[in-house]
Amino acid sequence: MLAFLADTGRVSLLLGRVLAGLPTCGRYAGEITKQMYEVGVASLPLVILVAIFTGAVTAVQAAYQLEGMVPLRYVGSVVQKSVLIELGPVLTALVCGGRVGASIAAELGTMRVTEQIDALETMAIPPVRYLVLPRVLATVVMLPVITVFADFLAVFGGWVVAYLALGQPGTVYYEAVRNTFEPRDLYSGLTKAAVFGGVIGLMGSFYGFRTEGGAEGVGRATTQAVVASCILVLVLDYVLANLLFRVIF
Amino acid sequence: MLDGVDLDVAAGETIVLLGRSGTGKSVFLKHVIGLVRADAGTVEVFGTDVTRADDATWDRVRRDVAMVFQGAALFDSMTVAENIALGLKHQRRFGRDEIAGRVERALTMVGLADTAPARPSALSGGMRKRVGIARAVALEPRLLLYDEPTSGLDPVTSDVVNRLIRRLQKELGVSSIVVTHDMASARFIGDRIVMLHEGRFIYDGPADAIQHAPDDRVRRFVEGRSDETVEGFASAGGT
Repeated sequence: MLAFLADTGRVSLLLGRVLAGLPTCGRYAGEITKQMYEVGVASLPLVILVAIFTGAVTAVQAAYQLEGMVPLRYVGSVVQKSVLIELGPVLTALVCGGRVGASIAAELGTMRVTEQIDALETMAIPPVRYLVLPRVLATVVMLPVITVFADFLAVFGGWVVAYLALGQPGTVYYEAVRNTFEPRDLYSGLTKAAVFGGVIGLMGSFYGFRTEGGAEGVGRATTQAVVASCILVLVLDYVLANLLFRVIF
Repeated sequence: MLDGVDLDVAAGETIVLLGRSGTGKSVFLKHVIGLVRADAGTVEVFGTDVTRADDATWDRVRRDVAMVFQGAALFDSMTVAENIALGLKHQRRFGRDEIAGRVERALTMVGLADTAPARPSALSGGMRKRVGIARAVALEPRLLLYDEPTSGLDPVTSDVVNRLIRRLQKELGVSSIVVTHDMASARFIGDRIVMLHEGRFIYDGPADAIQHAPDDRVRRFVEGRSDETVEGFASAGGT
């Protein structure tokens, strides 16, 4: 319990130092762009695959659960609502928590054990601003962007199932999606994605920065970063669902 | 780990810091450049008390002090030239041409001018150490800290690195503190040798007089002679 509280304090301090460095982020534009590419563009193939199958499975499950109670022309509504509010941001965050969080922890962990972070410090380059700030900023900005792709492709995956497996005319699914669309669903999903992005970047950096003990330590830091990111994404998902739907929107 | 150590380095002087593994030699260097902060006592670098210095003070001090790491600590994601230019760029005092010129001069000085576009992973251990030295030299510091510059190198490559360090001292007139276990290296590089034992200096004198030091622990170290059994060594926490 004491260790948990100590880590919470350390993560808060790291977050504080990242926020304090925001006014200087222009100096690290090159690093930020590079990280945005790593987080966004490089994650897209995996996110595309996960999103299409998530939408397809949601459509199959919706059809199974609605059958006999609600007309199947509402399958599009169910897929759209589920994806925009919940599945798009959460599954994208879990996929990125694994891919991006692990990559950040492994890279920074290796830099720590090979004294590269110490070398930065000796050259008067603040490691948190040079290494953590670009990664956290990139994940906060890019998670919502790839979530938009994921949302669109998941809804498309649902359409494929509705058309091919349920035999619905394409326009029926499309109408159901359009008629029940509410902007706040999208905004709340993208707000969640930005918060999840911050969590992934921060956890990867935190565990990477405190790595010790060579290759074994890097492996341990990577695992801890992924586990902590995934748990925090799920816990914050509940907190944000209450906050966004009961208080803000 | 360190207790009452006090070391003055004259301008242009090279001090070799000797001692067994785990005696705090690298920790001493890290105090000088702020990678480790002292629990008690004071650390002064160029007259500035840095014991509880803020980031701005350290930034100022670090413009005068550079460090060469044991494993070179080169950034894998950058080329050799980018590694050397990074610290200069961050200082925001030099134009692009000035930085390019300094990088070229530093690489020429260590005999690796043609490696500028290479990645550190493509270099041998000795070359990586020399690039590490070039990165430190490019910053034109007043004090250079070397942490085990010849560890892990074969005798011939060690000699190349030793000669390079000696040449840089003469050409640049920079003060240096070199941490090493290597006696041949220490005698060749050092103007003065200091030996650290259990957190205290037990020898501080000319490099060529260390084999006649009055303290038996110093002479044993110089001659590579141990009076301990393996069991005794292990129980004393030796590595």
